[in-house]
Amino acid sequence: MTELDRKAAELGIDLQVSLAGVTFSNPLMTASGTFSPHESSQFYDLSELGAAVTKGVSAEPWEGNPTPRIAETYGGMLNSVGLENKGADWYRNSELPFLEQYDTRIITNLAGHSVEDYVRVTEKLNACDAIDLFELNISCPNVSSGGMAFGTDPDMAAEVVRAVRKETDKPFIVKLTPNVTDITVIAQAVEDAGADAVSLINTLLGMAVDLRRKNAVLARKIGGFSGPAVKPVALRMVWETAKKVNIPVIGIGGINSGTDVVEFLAAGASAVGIGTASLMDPRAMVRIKSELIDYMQENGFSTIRQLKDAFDI
Amino acid sequence: MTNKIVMAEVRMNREIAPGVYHLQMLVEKETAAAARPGQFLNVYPEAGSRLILPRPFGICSADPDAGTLEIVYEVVGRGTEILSAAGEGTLLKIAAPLGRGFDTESLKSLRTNDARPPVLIGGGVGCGPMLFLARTLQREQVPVTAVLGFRDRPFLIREFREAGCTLLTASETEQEGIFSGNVIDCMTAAGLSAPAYFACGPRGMLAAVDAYVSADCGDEFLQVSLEERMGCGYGVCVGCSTRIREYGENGQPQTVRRKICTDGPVFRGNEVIWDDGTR
Repeated sequence: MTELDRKAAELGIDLQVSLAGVTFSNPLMTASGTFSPHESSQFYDLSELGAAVTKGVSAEPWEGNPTPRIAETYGGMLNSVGLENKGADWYRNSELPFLEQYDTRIITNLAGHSVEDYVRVTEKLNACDAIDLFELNISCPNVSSGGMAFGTDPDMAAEVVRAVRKETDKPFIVKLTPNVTDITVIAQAVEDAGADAVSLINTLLGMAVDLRRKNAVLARKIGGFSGPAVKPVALRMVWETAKKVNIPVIGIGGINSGTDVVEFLAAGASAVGIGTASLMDPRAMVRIKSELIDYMQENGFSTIRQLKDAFDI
Repeated sequence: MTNKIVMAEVRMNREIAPGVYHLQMLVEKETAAAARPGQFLNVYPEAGSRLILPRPFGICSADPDAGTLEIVYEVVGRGTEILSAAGEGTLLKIAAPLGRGFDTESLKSLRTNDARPPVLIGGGVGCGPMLFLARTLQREQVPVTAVLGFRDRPFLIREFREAGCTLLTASETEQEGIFSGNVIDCMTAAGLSAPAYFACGPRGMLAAVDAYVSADCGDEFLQVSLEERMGCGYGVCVGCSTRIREYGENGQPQTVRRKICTDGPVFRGNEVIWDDGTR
């Protein structure tokens, strides 16, 4: 038992949640692209995580975008990493065996430029028993073909979901982009096509200008905006989506405290993803988990269900 | 699991040249003892600052007995501006040490054949990490030549002298008593030749140093510390990646992506793809 699970148990608090037929020791998940097993494990015990959501992996290695890829903005940041990764073979042989040592659920985020790409990476990793769920990234704003293009069109989103559904019996989550007129339309389309859950939001498209270099800060000019500043937008979209779909919603966007987690659960999320906070503080996952336990204790909640039911939004 | 995130207390934060600061902080002795030349530390912004990302700084000195770490930095934006105002006693949340530093072990085998001193080259605040290396080599009784380049007024000169370095100093603006020009001009004028080189500074300077070293002993004997905008500084966000030429077991080069924060910031000259299409 981990240090924080012991703390919760001593207080009579059960953080367990289940979604898509899988139980999780707690509702805290890393957000894809802000977690790396070896590196993150230097800062906290990965068994504290409800789920380790790994960085987007493609069938073959991807180079990503030119640098600078990072810009700080007021209360948030921009990134244009572009899903640089070493490919599915490396993931299976190097990342997964390491992660398997920990007592946490493993969610593998999948990336592609085309329907065939998503199918291929699913094929390559489907036999890995260590993977509990897939998360289909159809919402990355930093790749020029595929990525977000699938997430902004309900028909294309449904097509890629159906194609992946045929390849795997593992439950999968579809990660949605906020860069659409109505995110609930996309959420319903992927639900109808067979997705087991949705996670939202991926980053908002944004930009920053470097007055000294007289150019955009990012080499790619535009990038994905994340961090505490996006929380109200994310909460609103999670609330709207949870009302419309019957599959679970994983809330992501600007979470940086235990009470932020509570807000997302209150708005209808079944679990939460925590991203930029781990850049701001490598121990954010365990700090936030501890704060959530404190909140539950102070407010007399012994289960996540009780906490959620206390809100009527 | 070692705890790399610690609180540090500012002991000194002094402007040593216009816009350039030298900061000394008190940390746990184990933290100071773990630091190696070429490694860096992250300073996390305070909650009320509206800034969110840590700022990475090359470590310019570590004293395990006193439990101190030092950095030299230039005010280039809001984060460093706030840091420059941190007075004695201010508590900073830091992560240290981070990254992979200079390999000095290889000097030992080199020196059995060639007693000429290795050359340390620093440009601007890039002189900081070179000072840490100079002090480390002084303890190992390796004589060192240091070439320091500045845009304007030089700094850290006394510290390099105290570290026992033979010193060449250059400035791009006329300064009394020092070479006028950049570090390459300065090295060329001095006819500098060495069995190994170490450098830290702007990427343009490092590329020029690489060309100089290639013509001298070969750039496999050059180690450079690269800089890039970072998100996390510990290898999760992949914001600071660069193209690297890696040499496999058969010696054949292969182009790969490597993270500056955890695979570096120190790379060998012959590994770096200087014009990597990223600027």
